[in-house]
Amino acid sequence: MGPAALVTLHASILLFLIAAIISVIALLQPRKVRMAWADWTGAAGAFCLGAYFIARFTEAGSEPFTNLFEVIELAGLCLVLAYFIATRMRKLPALGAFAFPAVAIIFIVNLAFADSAAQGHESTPLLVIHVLLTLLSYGAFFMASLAAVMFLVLERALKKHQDPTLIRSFPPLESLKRLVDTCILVGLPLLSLGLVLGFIALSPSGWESIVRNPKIPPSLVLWAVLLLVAAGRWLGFLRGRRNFYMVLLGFALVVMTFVGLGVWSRSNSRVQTAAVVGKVSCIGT
Amino acid sequence: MHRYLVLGINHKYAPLEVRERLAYPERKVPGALKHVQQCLGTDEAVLLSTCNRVEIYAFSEGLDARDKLLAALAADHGMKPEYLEKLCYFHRGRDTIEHLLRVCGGLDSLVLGETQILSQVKRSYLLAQSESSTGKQLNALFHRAFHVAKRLHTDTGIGHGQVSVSSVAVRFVKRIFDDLASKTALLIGAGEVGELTLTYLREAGIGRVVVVSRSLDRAKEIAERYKGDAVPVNLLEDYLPGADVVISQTAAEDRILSKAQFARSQKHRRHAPVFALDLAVPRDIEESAAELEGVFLYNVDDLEHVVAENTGERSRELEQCAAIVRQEADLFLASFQTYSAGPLITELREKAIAVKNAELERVLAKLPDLTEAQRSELAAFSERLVNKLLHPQIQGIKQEASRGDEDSIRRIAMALGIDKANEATEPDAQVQPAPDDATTRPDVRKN
Repeated sequence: MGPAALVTLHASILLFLIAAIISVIALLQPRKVRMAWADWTGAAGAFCLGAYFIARFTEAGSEPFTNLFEVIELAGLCLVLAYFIATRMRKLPALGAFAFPAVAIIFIVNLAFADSAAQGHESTPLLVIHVLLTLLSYGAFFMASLAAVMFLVLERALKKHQDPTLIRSFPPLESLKRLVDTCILVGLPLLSLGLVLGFIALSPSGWESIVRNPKIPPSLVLWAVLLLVAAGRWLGFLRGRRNFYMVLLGFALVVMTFVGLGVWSRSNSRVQTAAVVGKVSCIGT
Repeated sequence: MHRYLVLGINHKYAPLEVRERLAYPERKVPGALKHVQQCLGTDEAVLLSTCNRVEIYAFSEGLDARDKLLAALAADHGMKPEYLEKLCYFHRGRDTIEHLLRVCGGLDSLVLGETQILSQVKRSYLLAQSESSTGKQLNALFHRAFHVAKRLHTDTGIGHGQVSVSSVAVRFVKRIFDDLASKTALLIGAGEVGELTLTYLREAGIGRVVVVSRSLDRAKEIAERYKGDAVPVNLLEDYLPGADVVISQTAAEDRILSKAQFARSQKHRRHAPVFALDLAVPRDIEESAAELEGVFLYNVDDLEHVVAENTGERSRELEQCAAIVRQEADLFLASFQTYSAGPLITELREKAIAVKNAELERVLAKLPDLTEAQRSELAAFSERLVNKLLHPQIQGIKQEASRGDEDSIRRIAMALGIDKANEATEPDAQVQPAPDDATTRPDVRKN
């Protein structure tokens, strides 16, 4: 990694960390600190992260997804973009207090555990689209999970007739519910398409490589959970808090997949080579 | 002075479940007042029944007034006096005066400095007056209390930056719904706070208003004000599923909306959230309805606790308010005691005028040649003489009376050979406060 990429990467992580701190303070002390400050800092972080990928692209001469670390960085960028898109479309105060800390944690864990060694692999346009679609769907599910957490906290406080400072800047329950629905509605087709493209990309190397890829089972479970949430919501057999718990379970699977894989790949280079890169890796899923 | 007394129960010492059992619907107040009058053997009583307090004010002699009032309150609600004794407070004399001043000024309210209580006290007082249940003593006290309430709000910042129950309710509504324009508010009953909440909701942009009342005319009248629809009460269940905000404030003694009704409504609504605000005491909505998914049920206590947390600057004004209350109680006591010397002064004047008239008659009989103008001048002279001679004496009596020195008044009366002085001072002299007479508060409330 060149100096430009290194500087922009660390600057972005630092900026997301600052944005996370500002957003939490803004949530607890809304009169003293404004959430907009966190948004601006987060936007600067996203800009630096974008610059990092450009620097890496320039260095590598091809798409810069050469290892798990970079894939997670790209996923982080998708999450931040999903946050900005959601907050620009609808007034969702306090969402940043959940989004920025989550992104900061993902980046710090990524920095600590994920393998950043460049892996040689054959890249195809299909694979790149697969990665992008899957990461975008993760961004949508990330937003759905944040909204679900906020919904559960707000709903509990309202049921108990409490009015703590923490919830005062939360968006209304209806907005949060709608955000969850929209994110699932957007994320599920993206994930489905991403998975299909992933399988197509893997198919030349045979079913053995699909079975041996450790990311496939959790990805399929995630897809099934989200399909269940969507069907349950629209058919009416899954409603209320249970619905939101299922969304959280789905996103927890994504996080566990990446964290588990990062730790595993670091500790087991042989498995790492086979699982993360291989001859034709399925990076996104 | 010790004859002013109050027995009551309020939000500080009794939960909503108890208060709603003790609440008096307006139609029952006249009967309750007569009952109190019979029990205490007095003509003067006022009954205040709001969502936060039930208080009986009376002007009566007797050391057993507290037990009699407890018995009357318990009998009215089919409860045991021993149970109420643990929850009620009793004040006598000066404490009663200060208590009423504090209540009217909103200093005893959960929402510090609120003004709604003043209108509730006024309404209760007017109701008692219309039932001929007030006399000179309670009239004087309540008028003073209304005056002090105004002074507290103009001379201090106790009412500044106030957050009302209605505004807090709308704040909670906004935490649930993002687009009020597409929502429907259902008002059941015709309570003041309910209507105020509806006003705030209208200002916040609520889309549709439906008013349900036992009296369709009344419902139409309210609906017209809020550009809504009026519906008879028998159609309430039909309109419930369409309501996103339900505000209920009826005078019904039983629940008018059950959990089962809400469950059916929620099924129709596909469990979409509904904000139910129960402002009635006794409550209108079954508490267990809050267990249903999507039902956010709030009652008066729930909102007032939130409001009370927002007292902020107002709590700093309490010390100044307390000083005003003490000062006004002193003034009232002084004026009351001066007033109690009234019969003595009247008697003194009557005696002096009788002497003057007799002497004038005698002089005029001895001087038959006086002209009419001269006779008139003589009569005016005797009148002025009496007034000038009596003036320092009357001032002295008033001064002694304002000090509350009953012995001194009695000595003056005896010196002047006037009987009515005893009538003026005797009742207070008779009512010697018992050791715990002035204020009786059960220990249980301190826990």
